[in-house]
Amino acid sequence: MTPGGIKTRKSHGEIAGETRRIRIIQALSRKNWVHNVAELVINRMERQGWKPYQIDAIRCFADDFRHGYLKEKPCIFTSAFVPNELIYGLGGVPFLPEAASGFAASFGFALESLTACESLWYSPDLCSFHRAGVGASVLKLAPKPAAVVVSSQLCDGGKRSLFQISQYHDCPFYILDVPYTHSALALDRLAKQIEEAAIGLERDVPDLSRGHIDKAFANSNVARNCYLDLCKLRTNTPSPWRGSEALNYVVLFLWAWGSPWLAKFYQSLRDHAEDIIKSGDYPVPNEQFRLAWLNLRPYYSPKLFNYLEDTHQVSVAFEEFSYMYWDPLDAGDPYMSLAKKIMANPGWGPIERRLDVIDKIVREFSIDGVVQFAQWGCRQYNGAASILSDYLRKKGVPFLNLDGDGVDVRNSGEAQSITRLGAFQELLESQKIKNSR
Amino acid sequence: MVYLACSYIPYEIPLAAGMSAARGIFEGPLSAMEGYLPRDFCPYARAFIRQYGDNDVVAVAESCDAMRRVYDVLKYWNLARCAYFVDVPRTYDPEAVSFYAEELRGFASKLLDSVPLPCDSFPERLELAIKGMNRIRRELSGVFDLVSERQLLATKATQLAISINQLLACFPSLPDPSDSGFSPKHSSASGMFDNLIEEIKELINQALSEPAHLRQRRSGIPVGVSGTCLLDLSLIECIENAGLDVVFIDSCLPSRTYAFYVDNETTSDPFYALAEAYLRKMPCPRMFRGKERIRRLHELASDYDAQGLIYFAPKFCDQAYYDFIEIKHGLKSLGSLPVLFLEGQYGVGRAGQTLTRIAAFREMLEGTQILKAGKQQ
Repeated sequence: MTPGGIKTRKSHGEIAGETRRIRIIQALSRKNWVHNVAELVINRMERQGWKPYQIDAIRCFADDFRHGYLKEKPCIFTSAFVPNELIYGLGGVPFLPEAASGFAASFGFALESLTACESLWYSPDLCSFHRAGVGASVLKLAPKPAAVVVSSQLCDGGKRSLFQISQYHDCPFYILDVPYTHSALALDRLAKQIEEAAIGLERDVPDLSRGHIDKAFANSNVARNCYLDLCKLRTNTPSPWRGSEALNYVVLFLWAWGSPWLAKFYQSLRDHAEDIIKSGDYPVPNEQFRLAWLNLRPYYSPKLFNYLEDTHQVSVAFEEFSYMYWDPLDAGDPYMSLAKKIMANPGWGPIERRLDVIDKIVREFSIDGVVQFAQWGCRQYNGAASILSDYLRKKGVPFLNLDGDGVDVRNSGEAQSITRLGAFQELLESQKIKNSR
Repeated sequence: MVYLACSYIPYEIPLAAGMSAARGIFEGPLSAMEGYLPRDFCPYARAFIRQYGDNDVVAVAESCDAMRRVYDVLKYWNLARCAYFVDVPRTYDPEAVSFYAEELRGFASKLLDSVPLPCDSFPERLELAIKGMNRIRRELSGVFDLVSERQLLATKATQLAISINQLLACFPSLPDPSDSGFSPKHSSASGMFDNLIEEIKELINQALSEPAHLRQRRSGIPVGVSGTCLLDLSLIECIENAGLDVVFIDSCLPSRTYAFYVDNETTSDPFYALAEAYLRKMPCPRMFRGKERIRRLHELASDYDAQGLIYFAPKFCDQAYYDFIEIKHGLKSLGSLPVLFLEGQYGVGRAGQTLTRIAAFREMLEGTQILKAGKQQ
């Protein structure tokens, strides 16, 4: 079944984008021995000296992927801002197609996913994170979902594409219709919807049970504490962690709240940052400027960040998507607690909420300039560019709206982006000279 | 005047508050306002960005990412004295209806803060506004029934809907109490819609009294039109000029604004009645109501014998891009109704490329008819 509910090209043969290597990956990802080998490889990487936080992150995904692909646990697809404590708390594993698109781009599979999606009439003007997510699902690069849960805030493409994935796989679909305005009524309504979704999932999906919620909430709160420690360390000048790497791990930030691995990951990362500060072995040793990065990054190429961090010694000190915006969760009132987490998202509600967070990031992380990666097709974030530019200009913070595409290399204007980043760096320099006079 | 940005925001509330209200219909984005939103943004959202008058109010709904940014831009840059956000649920169930009823109550109370209307007269005026709008909707539904029966060109009927929207924009609002001519009598509710409905009937009669060859054509292949927002009349004109007969239009204006009825007999709370009716109507692509849209479109196509569907998406409208995929495959699964996808900006129907594509679609439909006739013989 294609999104919308009809049999199409599959009955006549191959799906567009289903190349030989894609078929190999489809098959391998569902083999038990492959996941066993992956475990051995991770152990070997650990012995070879990969950093503990890197190993923890890989284990976190390897664990979820194993459960999802081998159907050891129910795999629930969620949109980027669904609190996944709900999924871990039900004993399932989450899968975020839009976040997995970043993986696909990093490993060079995005083009096939995009091709598959476009052959099903998806417009190339849609955000490529969502298109690649649908494509990966159609190509069976992603595991088969037992159910789909989306939240309606922030991004139209996320919820719509996941609805179509649920149609494609003919599985239950739950939407958390998030109210825009903050009020007791709004919170009650959302909490009730989350509870109904939990009850529905427990009823509709075998092997899900709400008995794991306490554990998932505890995991989330421990991870949150470690993460806040890490954020404090990241205020250090020079920055103890490469922003380009931090932007890769945004995927984990969106994905794994509630997983036991996330706390381990942030503990290891916190320890790593502490070690770096103690040893003075900073990744951008002669840090000239510190940037805040809004939205995501191109995942298919490291050139932009190599140019910034290595050539010009400009750090990405913090990312908007890494901002911790919610209070500790309360297992005694789980649905209200998750509702509060959703509603606390600074991207939701009037733009002033987002501006406040950016302002905090600028102050807390001693930011010299702000770059918004204007992902093609992202109406949620790109639509605020004029406001951001004016707001930051009034505060004396240079702002760059950098057009690009995080997944679709065909939309990449890497040379132009580098030119614009170079010009932005010159602007920061001229401002520094002006301030020093 | 209150500019409504979405068909889910009831006209009834501002009208009852003594303010004229109309769906924001524009000729396109203003070049002077280009910098406020990116170019790769829905043209309807960009058209909404303009400097509004001191007496204007803009009511923006939680329609999509783009309209949320419109609200932010209007507020941040002070382009409208008052911009209100109406939080429209995306689902239709008793909880959503109750929530929306409260949201509408809040919207009314914000509007009432800015008008000199005695608050105790509002409930009575709201009842009358609901009845009045029901009458207007009934009149206009009658007009679109004629379109479906191919007795009136869809262009004419849509033009009528736009004219009625303009009449509502001129609906007498309450005078300023500081004006010397102000009298509390102006706030009297009785008969507030009678003159308006008479004007609407006259408009409709004028359209129907035109010679038959100017207002109807029955020779073309019947097709339906669907999408998020039509932007302007040019597409419907282009379809009819290409020799196809439009038998229904599923768009913000007209059908999703007029093709429903508010039942205020079964509940004592008019806000609940409004919320229920507006959320229950034919769902717009932003709503999550399963396959309801596909089912209703299929019903429309079957009822009016449409042989094809032309789906129009304003350029960069994500809701339409996703909706089209569901509609195309969904309708095909229900009976192979061919669907043509068109996207564009304001004035899309005046582009030669659009005419060429519609003409090719017509040829395809004619070919299908010839094939069917051949098989029957």
